[in-house]
Amino acid sequence: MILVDGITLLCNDLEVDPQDIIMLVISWHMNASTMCEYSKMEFLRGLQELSVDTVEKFRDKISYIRSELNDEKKFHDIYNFAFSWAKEKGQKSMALDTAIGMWRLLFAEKKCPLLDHWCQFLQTRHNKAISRDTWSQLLEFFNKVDTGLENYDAEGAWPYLIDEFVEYLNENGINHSKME
Amino acid sequence: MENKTIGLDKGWDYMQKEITKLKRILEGLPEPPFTSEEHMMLYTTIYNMCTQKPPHDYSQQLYDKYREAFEEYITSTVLPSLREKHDEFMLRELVKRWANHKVMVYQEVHAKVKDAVITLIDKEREGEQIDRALLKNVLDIFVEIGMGQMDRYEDDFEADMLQDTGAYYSRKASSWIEEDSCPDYMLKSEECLKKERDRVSHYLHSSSETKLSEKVQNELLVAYANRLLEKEHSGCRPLLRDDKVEDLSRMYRLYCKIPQGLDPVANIFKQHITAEGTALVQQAEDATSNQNSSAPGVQEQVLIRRIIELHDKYMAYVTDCFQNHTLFHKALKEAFEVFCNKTVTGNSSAELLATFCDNILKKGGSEKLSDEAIEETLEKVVKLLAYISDKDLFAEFYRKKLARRLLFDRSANDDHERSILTKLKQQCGGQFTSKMEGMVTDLTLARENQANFEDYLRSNSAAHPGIDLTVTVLTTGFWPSYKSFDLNLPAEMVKCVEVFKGFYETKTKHRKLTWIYSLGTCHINGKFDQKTIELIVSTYQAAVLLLFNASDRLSYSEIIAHLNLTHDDLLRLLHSLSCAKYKILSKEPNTKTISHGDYFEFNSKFTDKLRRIKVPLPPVDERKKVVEDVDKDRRYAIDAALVRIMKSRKVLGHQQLVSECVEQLSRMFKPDIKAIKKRMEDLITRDYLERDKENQNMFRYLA
Repeated sequence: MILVDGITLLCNDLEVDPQDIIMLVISWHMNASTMCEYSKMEFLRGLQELSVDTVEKFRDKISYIRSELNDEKKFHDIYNFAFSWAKEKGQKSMALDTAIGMWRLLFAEKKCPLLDHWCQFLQTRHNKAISRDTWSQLLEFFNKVDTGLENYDAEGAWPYLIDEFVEYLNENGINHSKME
Repeated sequence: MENKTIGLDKGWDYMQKEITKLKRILEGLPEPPFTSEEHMMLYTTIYNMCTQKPPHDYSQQLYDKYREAFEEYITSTVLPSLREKHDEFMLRELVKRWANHKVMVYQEVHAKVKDAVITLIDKEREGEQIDRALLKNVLDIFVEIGMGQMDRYEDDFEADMLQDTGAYYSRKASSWIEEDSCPDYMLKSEECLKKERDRVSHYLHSSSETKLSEKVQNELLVAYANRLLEKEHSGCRPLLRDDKVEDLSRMYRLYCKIPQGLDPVANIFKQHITAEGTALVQQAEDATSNQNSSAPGVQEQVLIRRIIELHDKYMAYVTDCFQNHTLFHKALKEAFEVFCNKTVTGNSSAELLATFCDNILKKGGSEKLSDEAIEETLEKVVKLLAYISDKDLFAEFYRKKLARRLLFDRSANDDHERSILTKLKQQCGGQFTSKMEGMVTDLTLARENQANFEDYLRSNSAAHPGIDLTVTVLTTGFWPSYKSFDLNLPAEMVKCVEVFKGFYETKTKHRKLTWIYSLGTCHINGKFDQKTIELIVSTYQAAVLLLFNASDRLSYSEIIAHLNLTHDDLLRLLHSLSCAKYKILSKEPNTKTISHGDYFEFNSKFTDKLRRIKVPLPPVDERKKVVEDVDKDRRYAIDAALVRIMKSRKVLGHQQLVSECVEQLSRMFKPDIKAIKKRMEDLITRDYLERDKENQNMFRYLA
C-alpha cells in the first residue's frame, strides 16, 4: 500500500508537484479508489498499462500523460473518475470545498469563463455537498452550452442546481457573449 | 258498339278532332268540356285499334301520331307563350303549362325560373308579401324533374339560391355590424335564421334547411364573430358585466350550432370570471392592509364567502345561459383555478379554506347559520377545494384544526363534522379523509374508554388518584404530530399517569402510550385572599402554578430547572400567568415581558368577579410546522411517483417523466419542476435511477 509518504517519494522521483493534476491522471490510469493512496494491485496494473517498469521510463511518460488531458474523451473519463476518487469515502456526495478545489484543478488549463461564477454561486447560494449527477452534468453543461447561454434549454434535464446557476447568471446580468 | 275493324285513317281522324277540342280547353278557349260519352267513345276506339289482330294493330302508328301532335302543340303554342311572359307571369304560365303537360319545358326555362324565384325570395326577405304557394309549385318542378334524384334542384336552383343568400346577408351584416349593438345584432340574426327556416318549411325543399342555415350563420355570425363579441359597449364582456342573462343565452343559442363558435365566448367568460375573482382577492388584500384594527383573518374569511357567491353566480350562468356545455364548465374551472391559488396577505388559499371550515364547524364560530345553511356552505367549500392545487396543504391545516375542535371539545356538531368528511371523501377519495375519519372515530372510542376507566376506578377504589382524570387515547398515525416533552409533572399528576397506565395494561399489552401533556387541560382551585377561583389552565400552566404550593417565591431559572421545559415554552407560560389578563403570579420586576432573571410569587391578592376563569395560553403559530410537514410528505410522494413510473417504463425521457409525475400527483398538489428535479437527483444518488450514458435527457430505472 502506498500512502501519503510513498506518494511524496514518487512525486520526487518523477519530478512533479504532488498538487499537479498529473497525479490525478496517473491515479486514473491506476484506477485508484482513493486520493493519495495506491494499493499494490492498483499500482502494478497501472504501471503495466502505461508500459512502465523503471523510474526513467515513467518520467519520460509524463509529457504523454499530460497530453491525455487534451483528449476530450479521456478528459471526460478522468473528470468523472475524479468524483469517486476525491470524495470522502462512504459519502454519496462530495464536500463543496473539495469539489471546488477539483474543478479549479481540472479546468485550470481549459478556458472556462463560467467556472468562477459557478464556484461563487455555489458558495453564496448553495453551500452544500455536490451530488454525482450534478458533478457529471456540469461538464456536459460547460461542453454543450455556450457561455452566452443561447442554447441553454430551461425545460431540459439539467440538475436543478445548474438551472439555478443560470437564473443566478441572468439575475446578475452576467452574460459572456456580450461582455466579450 | 260496332265490332268491326277500324282503319287507321278513320280512327286518327276521330282522335284528331278530339285532340283539337282538348287544345282549345287547355288554351282556355270556349269549348264545352268532355262528356263521359265522348270519353268512353275515345277510349274504346283507341283500345280497339290497339288490340286488333295484325295487320290491323295500329298501336305503334297511333303512338307516333299522338306524339307528333303533342310536340307540334308544345313548340308552336306552349313554349312561345312561356317565352313571351316574364317574372311572376312567366312562373304562373309555367305552373299552368306544367300542370297541363308535364313535359320537357324545363330545359328551356329553368334558368329564367331560377332567377325569378331568387328575386322573389329576396323580395320576401325585404318584407314584401309574395305568393308562397306559387313558389312551392315552381320549386316542386325542380324536384319532380329529378325523378327521385335531387341533382336538378341542387344544381339548377339551390346552388345559386345559396350564393345569393350569402351575398344578401353579407350586405346586411356589413351594415348591421356598424349600426347595431351586439344584442340588437343577435336579435336580428336570430330572427333571420328563424325566417329562413320558415322559408324552407313553406316552399323550399327540406334538404335546403341545413345548407341555408349554415350560409346565413356564416355571413351573420362567423364572419363578424370577433367584432360582434368584442363590441366595446355591448359585446360579450359588457353583457357579462351587466348580467344580461337573456342576451347571453341568445349568444349561446346562436353560436352553439357553429363549429368552434363557442370558443371565443367561453374564452371571454373565463377572462371575465378571472378578472372578477382577482379583484376580490385584491380587495381583501387592500382591506387587510388598510384596517389594522379589524381582527386578523376577518377579511380573508369574507373573501371566501365572496368567492363562494361568485361561484354560485357563474355556475348558474353555466347551467342556465350556457346549457351546461362542457366548454363553459371548463372555463369556469380554469378561471377559479387562477385566483383560488393566489396567496392572500401571505396566507395560502388552502389555509384560508380550512380556517373557513373551522369557523363554521366550531362552537361559537363567526357564522351563525341554520343547519341547512351550514350543510349548503360546506358543500360549496368542498366544491371550491376542487380548484385548489395544494389539496395536501388544505388536508394538513384541516387536520390541525379538526384536532383542536375534537380535543378541546370545540366542535359544534358531530353530524356536520361527519357530513363534510363524507363530502370530502366523495370529491378527493378515501385516502384524503382516512386520517380525519380516524380522528373522529378515535374520539368516540376514547369516550368509551373513559367510561371503562371510570368503572375500573370504582371497582379499584385503592387505585383512585384523588383527582378526576380524563384521558383521551388517540391513534398516533391519524393525528397531527405533536412534540412530547419529558415535562417534570407535579407529583399529583404523576400519580394520575401511573393509575391510568395500570388500567390501560389490563386492556392491552401491545400498545405503547405516549403522553402529550401540551394538549392537556387542568381545573385547579386557586385559594386567593378574597375567594377561591377555579382556574382552567393547560397542563403546562398547571405544572408551573403547582410549584408555588411548595415555594412562595421562585426565580425563572428555578422554575425551568424544576419543570425541564424549553425557554420558548416557559416564556409563553409565565407570560400568560403574570403579564396577561389574569395576573395569578406577580413578577419582579413588574414589566410586560419575561426575562431570564425575573422572580415570581403567588399573587394572593388576585381576584375576579367570576368563580371560574379560563387562563388563555395563546397557541403557537403552527403554520410553519404544517408547511414543513407537507413539504416532507411531498418529497416522499414525488419519490414514490417517480419510482412507480420508472418501474413500469424502465427508460424514459426527462420531459415525459416530469409530466407523468405531475399528472400522477395533480390530485393532491402541483409539484414544481425544481422539486421533482431535486428528487430525481436524490434518486440517482441512491441508485434508483441513472442517466443514460449517451443521452443526458434519458433516465433508466435501476432495479
